Amino acid sequence: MSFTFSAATGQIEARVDAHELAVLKAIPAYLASIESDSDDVVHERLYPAAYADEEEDREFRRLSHSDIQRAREVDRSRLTSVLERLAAGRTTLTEDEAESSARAMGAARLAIAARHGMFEVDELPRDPVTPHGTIVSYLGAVQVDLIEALNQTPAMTS
Amino acid sequence: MSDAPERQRGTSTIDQTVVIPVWNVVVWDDPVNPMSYVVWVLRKLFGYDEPMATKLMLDVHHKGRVIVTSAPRERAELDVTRLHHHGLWATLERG
Repeated sequence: MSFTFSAATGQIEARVDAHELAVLKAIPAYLASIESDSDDVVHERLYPAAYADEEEDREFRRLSHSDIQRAREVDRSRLTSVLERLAAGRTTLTEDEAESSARAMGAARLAIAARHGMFEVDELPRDPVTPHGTIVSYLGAVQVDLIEALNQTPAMTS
Repeated sequence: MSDAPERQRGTSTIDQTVVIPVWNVVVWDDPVNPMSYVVWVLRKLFGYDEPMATKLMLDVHHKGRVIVTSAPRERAELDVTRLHHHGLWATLERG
């Protein structure tokens, strides 16, 4: 998958192969499944503690959790729309869609990494040998490519 | 008759300084978020230029944590909420 910012249209152009698209299409449903399990170790990483004090943290979560949940729902929805359009092999993304896609891919990476204990190292291996390591590495490459395109937008260059 | 200005009965002037406690927003290192993504998030959320955002990202990476902003509590909580939405591990500390 690749992303390129077009100064002419002000949009980000995306291209993808069919086999990559099949992998990416699993992300929104995977992220939605995490939201429904509040005891999950993954959930703890996506909604981390903000305060050391338990009572203050409970109050923070009470006020912030639904806001983050709604924002992530928007991200998933935008990514789903982008992936549906990519069935043709290419599409253009608005800045909002690109940002949401970058966050959703990041959330998927965090979720897989948390599930498989990958936060217990200082740095992820450059050449992963496990299936989950390969997926995290692949999504990281897609996310970085998307960020490079976003860094070319007027909002980031002005 | 005195030249001193006449004081109105029952009025006074009191200088008051209201001190609003400041909270630090701390971002912690993790091995999963790409460096360029962290720089982009810090630029987007806090308006830092690229050199400043890169410096903060490298401080997180090498020192394990860094204060990315300080603000009154309500604003600092909003910043942490936005950082969590972006997948960064952020906490609050009294400044």
